[in-house]
Amino acid sequence: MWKYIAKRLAMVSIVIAGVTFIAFSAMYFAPGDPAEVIALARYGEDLSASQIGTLREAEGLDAPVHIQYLIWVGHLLRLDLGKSLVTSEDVLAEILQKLPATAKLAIASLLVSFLIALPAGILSALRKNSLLDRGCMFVSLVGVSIPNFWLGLLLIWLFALTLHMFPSFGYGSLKHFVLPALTLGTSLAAVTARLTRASLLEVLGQEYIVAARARGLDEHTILFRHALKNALLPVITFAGMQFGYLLGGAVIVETIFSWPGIGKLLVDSIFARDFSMIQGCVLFIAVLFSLSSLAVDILYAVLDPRIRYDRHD
Amino acid sequence: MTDMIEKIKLTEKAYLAEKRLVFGEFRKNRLAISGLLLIAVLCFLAMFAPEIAPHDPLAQKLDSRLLSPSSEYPFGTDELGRCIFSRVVYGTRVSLGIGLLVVAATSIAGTVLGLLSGYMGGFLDEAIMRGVDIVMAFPNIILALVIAGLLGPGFSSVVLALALTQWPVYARLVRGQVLSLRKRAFVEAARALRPSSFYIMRKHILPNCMGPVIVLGTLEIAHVIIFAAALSFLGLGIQPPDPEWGSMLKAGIPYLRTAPQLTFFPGLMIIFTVFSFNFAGDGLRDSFGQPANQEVLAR
Repeated sequence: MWKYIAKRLAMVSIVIAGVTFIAFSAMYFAPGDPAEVIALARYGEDLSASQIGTLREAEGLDAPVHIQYLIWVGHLLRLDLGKSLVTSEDVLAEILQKLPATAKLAIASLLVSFLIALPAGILSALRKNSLLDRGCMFVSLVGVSIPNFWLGLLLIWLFALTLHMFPSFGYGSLKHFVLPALTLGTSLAAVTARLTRASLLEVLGQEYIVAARARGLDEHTILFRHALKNALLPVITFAGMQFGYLLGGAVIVETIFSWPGIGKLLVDSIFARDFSMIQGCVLFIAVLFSLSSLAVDILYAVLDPRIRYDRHD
Repeated sequence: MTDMIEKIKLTEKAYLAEKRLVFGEFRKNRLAISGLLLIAVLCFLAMFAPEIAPHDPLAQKLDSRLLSPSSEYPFGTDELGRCIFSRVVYGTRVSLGIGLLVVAATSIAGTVLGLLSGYMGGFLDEAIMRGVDIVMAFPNIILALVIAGLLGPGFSSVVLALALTQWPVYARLVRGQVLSLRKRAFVEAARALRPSSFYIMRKHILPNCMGPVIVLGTLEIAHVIIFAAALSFLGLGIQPPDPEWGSMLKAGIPYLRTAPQLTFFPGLMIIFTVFSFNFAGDGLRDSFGQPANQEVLAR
């Protein structure tokens, strides 16, 4: 067990080291000299060569790239992500300030998705190949194919502009949560429902379920006491990947609904060419995602001892 | 010696025959066939866009702005009086083009890396797999968003951003396939006879990996098309006036109340396209007898 955890920890540290490298190099994806791009973002079009020169020195952009990287990592280790190039706010403080909005949206969406997906997946598996099952799976295939930006606009059109039931943007009251959480949650539900169905079908075909039937247990007990416990394990661990999906989807949903979260912060800073904010957001998201995957893996190994032996691919 | 080679060929033939049944299955699979028919319709739209579209997709006509659907404009007109139907039809070219280009590039690169990783093992395997992990540490669309956003909008940035971020799925899949194929008798026998790794990979392993790669590639076209549309929707991909579904949606937002047709039809077209590829991919997967892949589903 400890060996497994140690191995996963070592792998995650390598990944995070790689992630810092990619996040750092984001500055060099943009065509042109970073100092000039930053100066443009900060002072506008009317630039003098000396302004760019001063900025290059002030931001340490005159050092060789690998030195810049090392300095940047040095700051990182002290949890210093630098300051926004546009507003001069502290990057980490800004991200942490936006985190609750994104986290709340993610939790609400996860709830929506489970409320739809678990009943649909379980019923489909219990009535395999029935009309209900085919219907659910068809709807979920359509669901996977609906882009969340379109679903968001459709919900705004229907519930905000036509029926005036919920606000179309903003953040604060419970009513503001409804449309964004529905948008993000339903697209996730489509996937979760399919996974729940597949997983439950697999478990229901196993010998211990047949044995339980042979012992004369009623279907209700078999489903709730025996089958679901094992069937939901992959669904729960899948939450790790769902978390990634939510972080990615948040970028789009937060932009549509003007939700003050990390996703919108990232998009806004891309438009503003705010390199340090982009680096900070990307790094924060990737590290959060890596750590949550690690946590899920460890949890999985604790819950299901078989994993430790056969999950070393 | 020749005897042995014959025997190896026989075992591999038996294995391949088992796989060939797949295509028999596929023909019986109505899901997959209807998916392929839908894809054929899309290709038809893309190829004959100039013949199908009733108007020039870029032609502005300011006296006929924001018209509702009519016989002249089947989907109505947009804020500059352009025919939405014609723009949607031309948009097929952009989306299919991005989808096919990205999937062609990433499936080839990912397959080669996966083969090397699985077959060679050792340090190379570690290096490639950690590369895969690093790219996959950026969930969903995040990395593509940053690359495309910073490269600047346009067709080539979208393709490059998606290509750089989508190859790891194939590498991981192919590596898994190679690891299980390596244990097959015909591969072990071939290794005993033919020392060249390259020959074995090309002749025995690669052909047997193709099925799952084709399934994944089909589903990936759907993902790539959604991602590309999302980038354009955010304003970081294809820019107006080029007809692209995502950017058409973005342009329609201010008119959502008065002229919902601006957002409605391009969105339906994305759904139709993505659904076709998902449908075909699901059908293919069923006929290959593969279990639903969590990672593929999750993206």
